[in-house]
Amino acid sequence: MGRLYEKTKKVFALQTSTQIYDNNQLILSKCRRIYEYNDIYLKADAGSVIVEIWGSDLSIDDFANEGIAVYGKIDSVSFTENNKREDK
Amino acid sequence: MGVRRVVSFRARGNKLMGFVNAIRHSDIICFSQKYSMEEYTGKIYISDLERLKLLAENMKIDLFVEEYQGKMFTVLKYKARYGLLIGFIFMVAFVFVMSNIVVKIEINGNENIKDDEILYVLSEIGIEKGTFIPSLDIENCELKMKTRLGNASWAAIRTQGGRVIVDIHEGIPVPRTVHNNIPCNIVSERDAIVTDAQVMQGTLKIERGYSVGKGDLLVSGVVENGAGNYMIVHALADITGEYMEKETFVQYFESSQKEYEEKVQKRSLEFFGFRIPLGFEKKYSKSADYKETTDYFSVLGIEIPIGLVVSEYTDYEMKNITYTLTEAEEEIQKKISIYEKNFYSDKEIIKKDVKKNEYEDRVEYEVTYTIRGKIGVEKELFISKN
Repeated sequence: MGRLYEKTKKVFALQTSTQIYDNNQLILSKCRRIYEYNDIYLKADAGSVIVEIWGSDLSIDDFANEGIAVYGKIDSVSFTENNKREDK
Repeated sequence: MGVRRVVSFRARGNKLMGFVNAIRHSDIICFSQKYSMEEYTGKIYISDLERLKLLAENMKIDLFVEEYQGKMFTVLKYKARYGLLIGFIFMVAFVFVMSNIVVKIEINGNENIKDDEILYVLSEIGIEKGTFIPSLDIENCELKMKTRLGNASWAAIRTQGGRVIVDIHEGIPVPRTVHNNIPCNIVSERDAIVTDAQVMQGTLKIERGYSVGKGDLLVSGVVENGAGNYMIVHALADITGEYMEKETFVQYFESSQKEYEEKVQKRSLEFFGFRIPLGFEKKYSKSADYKETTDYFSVLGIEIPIGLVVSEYTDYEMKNITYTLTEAEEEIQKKISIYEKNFYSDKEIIKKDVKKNEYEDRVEYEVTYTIRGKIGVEKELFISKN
């Protein structure tokens, strides 16, 4: 069931994509919720993964779609599997 | 700074992260968002401000509007300045007029046909200052113009903005002389007695002292070469003859003449074909000779349909002049002198018989001239094929 779900997401391009430009811009194609946000740290629910961004002088643009653009000096990005979906 | 109106805001409160997500889940477009020191800042379009305020109120967030940005704010500042609005409307109207109404007519290429004549024909076919250009059928106008201007071999009309440019090609008059290669005779132009003949080419058909009538053959273009063969050539000869011409000169004892007063100048401003007088208008009840010149202003080398018209009036009165017999004869002598200068300057006056006739109201001089001059003219020689 899990494999079928993954394949369906792939076929219909439902996966979350992350684009990083140098170390000063990151675009998340999907962002359901921002858990924590300040000028050095951002934690967001990106669907199947939780994205954590560390840096300085972080700011975000939200174009009223699903995604967000994060600007500033990005030091690190980490992805953690989102267990919420599995819990459900 | 962009064109759209953008508002910078600052938000403070207990549930700030909830407010951030609430904005994200609403349709509000929010950019340059920052969250620092328990304060959330961002920028939104002004159309979303009311929704943002409502959202902040529901979530008990303190919202502060910091700054208004965008060129539209600058523009809207001037919305109550009616002068600017009128100026803008005037500019649009100006551009419209300059592009669609005939404001100036330029005529090129005419030498013998007068500008006035062309302008008259143009006005007859519907092209004049103030005409709506899109309504003109230029091709049809060109055809009509060529027909009405007899001397024009070609006429082209084009428009450039509010200018109508008319290019004229005048017809080349056909020369009176026969081309050097074409066989021709030389015939007499008038009744005369031949006094001299110098033939360069052709066969002389008359002798000195011969009396010839108008159209008589003087030199033939058919030449015999001595061996019984005939050649057709272009006859070349100078035939001089003596002939008489009569002219009558009249001077009335009572005649009227223009007596001019001082020249008066009047200036007016031409504005898209309309004239605004500069200074007080003086009414001209008397007859006057009139002349005017227009100098159009130019912007960046392009003439605009605004200019200064200088009109010159020279008033005159017709005055009756009474001549005595001596004065009338003096006037006739002047006329005779002008006539001779005009018509006989390249000829020799051999004899001049003057017969004076005096009437109650006038004096007449009947002058009979005996002239020596060239009498031969070329006439094409046509040969039958048979």
